[in-house]
Amino acid sequence: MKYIGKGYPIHDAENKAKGKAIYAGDMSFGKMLYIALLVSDYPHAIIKSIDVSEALKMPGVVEIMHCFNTTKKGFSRYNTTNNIKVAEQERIFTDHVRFVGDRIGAVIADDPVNAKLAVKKIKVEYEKLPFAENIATALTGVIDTMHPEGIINECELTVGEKQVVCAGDVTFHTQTDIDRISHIAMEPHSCTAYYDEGMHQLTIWSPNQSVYGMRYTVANFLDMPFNKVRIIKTTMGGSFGCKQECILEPVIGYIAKCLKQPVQLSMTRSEAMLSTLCRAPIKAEAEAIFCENGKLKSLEINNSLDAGAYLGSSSVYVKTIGEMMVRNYNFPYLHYIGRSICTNMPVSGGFRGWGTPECTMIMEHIMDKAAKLLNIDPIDIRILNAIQPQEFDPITHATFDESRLVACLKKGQEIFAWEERREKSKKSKNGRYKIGVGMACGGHINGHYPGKPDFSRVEMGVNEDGSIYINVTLHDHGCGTVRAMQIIAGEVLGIDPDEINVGEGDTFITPVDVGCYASRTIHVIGAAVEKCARALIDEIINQASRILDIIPNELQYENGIVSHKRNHSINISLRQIAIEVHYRYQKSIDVSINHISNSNPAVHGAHFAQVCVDSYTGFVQVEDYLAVHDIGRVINPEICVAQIEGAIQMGCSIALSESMTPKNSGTGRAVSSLKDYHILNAFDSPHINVVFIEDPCNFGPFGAKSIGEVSFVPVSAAIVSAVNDAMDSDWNTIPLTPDRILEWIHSGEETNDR
Amino acid sequence: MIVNCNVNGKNVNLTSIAPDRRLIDILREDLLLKGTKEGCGEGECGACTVLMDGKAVNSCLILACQLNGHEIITIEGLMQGGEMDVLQKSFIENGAIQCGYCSPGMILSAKALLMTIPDPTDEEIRNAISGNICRCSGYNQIVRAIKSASKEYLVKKSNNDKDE
Amino acid sequence: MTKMNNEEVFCPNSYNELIEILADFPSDGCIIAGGTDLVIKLQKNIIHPSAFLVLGKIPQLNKIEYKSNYLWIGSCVTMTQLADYSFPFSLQSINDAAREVGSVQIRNLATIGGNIANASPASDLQPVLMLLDGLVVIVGPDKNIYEKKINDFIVDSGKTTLNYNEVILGFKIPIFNNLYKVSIYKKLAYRKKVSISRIGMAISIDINTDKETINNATIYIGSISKKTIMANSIASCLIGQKIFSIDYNNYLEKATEVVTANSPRKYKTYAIKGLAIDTLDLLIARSTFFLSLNN
Repeated sequence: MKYIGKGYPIHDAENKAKGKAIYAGDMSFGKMLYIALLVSDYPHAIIKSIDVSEALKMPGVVEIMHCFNTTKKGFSRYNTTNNIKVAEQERIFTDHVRFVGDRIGAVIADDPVNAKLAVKKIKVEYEKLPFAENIATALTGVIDTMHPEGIINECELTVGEKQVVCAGDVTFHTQTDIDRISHIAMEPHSCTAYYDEGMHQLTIWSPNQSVYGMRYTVANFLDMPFNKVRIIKTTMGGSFGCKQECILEPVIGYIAKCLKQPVQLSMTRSEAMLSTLCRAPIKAEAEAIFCENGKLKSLEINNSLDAGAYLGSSSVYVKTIGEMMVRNYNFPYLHYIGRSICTNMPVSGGFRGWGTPECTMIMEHIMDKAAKLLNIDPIDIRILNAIQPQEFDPITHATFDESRLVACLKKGQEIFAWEERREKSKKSKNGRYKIGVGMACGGHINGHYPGKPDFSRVEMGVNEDGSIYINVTLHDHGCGTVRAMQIIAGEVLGIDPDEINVGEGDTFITPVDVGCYASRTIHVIGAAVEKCARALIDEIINQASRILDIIPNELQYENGIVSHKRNHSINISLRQIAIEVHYRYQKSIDVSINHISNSNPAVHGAHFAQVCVDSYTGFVQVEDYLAVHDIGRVINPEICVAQIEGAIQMGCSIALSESMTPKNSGTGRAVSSLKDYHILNAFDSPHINVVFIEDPCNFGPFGAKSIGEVSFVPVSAAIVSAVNDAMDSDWNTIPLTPDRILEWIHSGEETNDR
Repeated sequence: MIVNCNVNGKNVNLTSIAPDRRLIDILREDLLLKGTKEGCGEGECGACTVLMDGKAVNSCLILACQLNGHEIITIEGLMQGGEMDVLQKSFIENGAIQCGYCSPGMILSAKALLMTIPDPTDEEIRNAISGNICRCSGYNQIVRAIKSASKEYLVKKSNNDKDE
Repeated sequence: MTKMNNEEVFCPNSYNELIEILADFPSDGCIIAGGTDLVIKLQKNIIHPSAFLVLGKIPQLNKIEYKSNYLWIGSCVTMTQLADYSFPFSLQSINDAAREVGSVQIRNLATIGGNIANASPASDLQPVLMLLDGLVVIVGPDKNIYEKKINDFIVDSGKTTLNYNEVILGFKIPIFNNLYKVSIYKKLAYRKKVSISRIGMAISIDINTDKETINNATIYIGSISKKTIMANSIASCLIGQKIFSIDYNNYLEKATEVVTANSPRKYKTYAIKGLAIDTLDLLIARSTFFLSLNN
């Protein structure tokens, strides 16, 4: 491989190092106005009145919009394509506030500071209503009428046949509790918009994961034709799922259309934490039946997910947690009931892994527990149950293709010196500092297939100087997907990736595409780019054939030069071909392809962790960590490893430290400050080793599978596993804060199982 | 009030500034230096880090009335004569930049460190950047980049010393 | 540009300029040292101060200086300056506390005066200054300079006796005549670095000339109550003990008692065990090192 497998910085690293990269909140237009939001202070209330008189007198204020002077039309942040029809429960500004952080209004002023100062002067009269801070309270009925559709959505999933219990089978129950967490992408949500009243055209610049998805929601909301709504994806300061749903775009689109001047909204960290989306708390109860030999026989799961104040994606998310149960292990019976329940808390939504991390937490704890009860090594029991290559996903019936789960487990076992470490750690069990060695593995997806739509259109061509352009709808989260496409195309074309220009999503320019989420970017869009590059070579040869008057069969293409197969002295460069084609034949060298995804191979990560638990203070230090990934093909190892390490840092932090649960229970006020939301920092990060198993799958670009989400999938479960090993406990709650650990130690209650 | 300070080597004289206007707003809105980012507004994330008289500080916590007579360096001020600083190059070459939002603050924290401890240990590096949150990475590439830059600074310095 | 509301800004360059300003300083005025606590409060408040008094330029307030029988620490001395200063062993608890305040960025701005004036129950400097019998030196509008014990200065969580037109000039830390005095500070937080204290222990001991017996011990504990508390019952466990063979159990028991009596948080009553052991370990290590230097 010429370029694949070599390390490259991301495509705009230099821009970012210089501080020159422009994010949505950095954009500057003449006469731009700034929006500051007014959000609810109460978890559930009706707004009786809003007094803006004092606010209007504040310097620089141009307009104040709120629930009484703007549209009552509803939208759903999750209705971003035609085949999703979630109830449109949100308004841009509401008079029925359903959580602390719900949007009531906005000040638009000449300076962002002036806008924020004026918001503080707005007087809101609330009529408080009973509220539910959690699922248990919601289920008592106090907020049943909060939405006309009700607050509960249930799904049921059955795979296989209910099993007969045999002698020797082991049955046990587990409980999994996951707190509400926040993405904390370093860039809080921002967007800029302009409505051109002469052209009747709205443009929104925002860091989002689907320009076409945003367009769909915004155009429908504003009753505008799609071809008059332009969404442009800006440099993204991280997403992890928080910029996938359409939240601010309808708001700023509406304001822009009213004011007809460029407007910008940059959220504060507190607003980003409260008023966008978060990862749902879940409480899952499971009953597992294992055969004596360690084979999983039956899994019955009852899962409750806290959707927060608006339904959003939650009914689909809770279902996905069930569907992901079959992506790692092969077992005869799964019965899953998932309920999403609305409460008066921040809205839940997509988070890196989209349900698979939660599924993995449930499943991996079950595996650990079975291993203990049956006296089987935890890795061996997983190898026994692992899916095998060429088996099929029992729900979608797509082939798992080249699954390498077993290879990952075995490799990890060896490299991590699993048995040795476990032996060694036993010696520490009586001391203050207890060493624990644990592991977890998970399987994820590569796109929607067989779900639809999952296709990607790519246009590729040669500029007159021989450089290449690719027109494709990408949404780089900062994780290097633009660079990856340059490398993939460069590998096919034999051209330096730096000579290939790849743009990002702009609904006026780049072809329609579902978006960059569900781990489809490398596997589906990347495959499209590879296909297109190969088609481009054919077209280059065709054109060269015309110019040289030699039949295409006699010509070969290599590294930007077309030459006669048998006489290399007859050759022509891309640049020469391009010029000839342009002036002589009056066309350009370009191709476009439409790639419909036909694959969704299994993709796994096996993670191993060694922790040290200070049983006196409850602090957990992650000392050593190994991640083994069945990646198919590594396109850009430098950024790939950086991504995986980031996923591990994030997963450790979520497992040990992060929670939005209200500091004071009963206030309905989720944590919304980094002072109280504790993230592990550079000083806490573990020593990490990343190992790839590169057995290319039969699909994807050069056999590559996804990595950005699957690298995050098993992390929290691996940490929980290691802590349980250290403490000889049976916990499956995150975060495992020092407070919780000491409480459990001292209460003598070492299990949260029934 | 009138603010008189030095930003990126240039004297700055701003009139009609509210005394409690934050430095980050002066930099971004009044001087149009958008490289400095706001990640939290509370001094917790470090994205807004700039150098004040050579020391790393959170620009979201400094008010206009505190600025007179001080020297501020933002990420834009790190380039010298069109050339990137050794640290900037090292961050690029070591895969230490992903989404880039933490990068300006991170690079400046590193710059402040290397100006006082030219040959830092890993622990000293991690301590120096423990006030800068990177959500994309596990900090390993960042630590490597800083270590590599420190070596290069020392080489450059010894070459300069030889020349003198 | 934002519009001004005719706020007055005072940046005195000398002590004399300062006391002129204090004479007429308005009650809704705001005094700034480092600003790290203040700016966040200003962002949240609706009140807009009518005057700002910036202290950073006054020379005495920025100095750490040895005087005849005390050490002077100006109120605008930053945490970084305190962390880096070579204090004698008897005062090294100041280094310990300053090093653990926030991040590098915060330490470069945050001042000792601001920390004490803010009177956060979780302050790291509060227990240390009390431990070292520090005095806070204040000047008021009538040019009157007076001193107060830290314990008398801090009234409650977030409350001190400081008036709106008074300024902390600095702190006097007595220089001890005891030959073998060692002090430490250690805290338990949410993370290892960059985290607010959940329990902070400041300990000082006087070692006998026999270089092993502990003649005297003082302990202050922060973050378990609205202000730092003195923990004589724990300190008395150390008195009479030999530094190299301290009875940990008694010490731990007392520490747990004190924390349980003062803090409603269950976590702290459990976790104090870990912190107490760690503080003793540190105390012994520092004393051992100190004694070995004095052979």
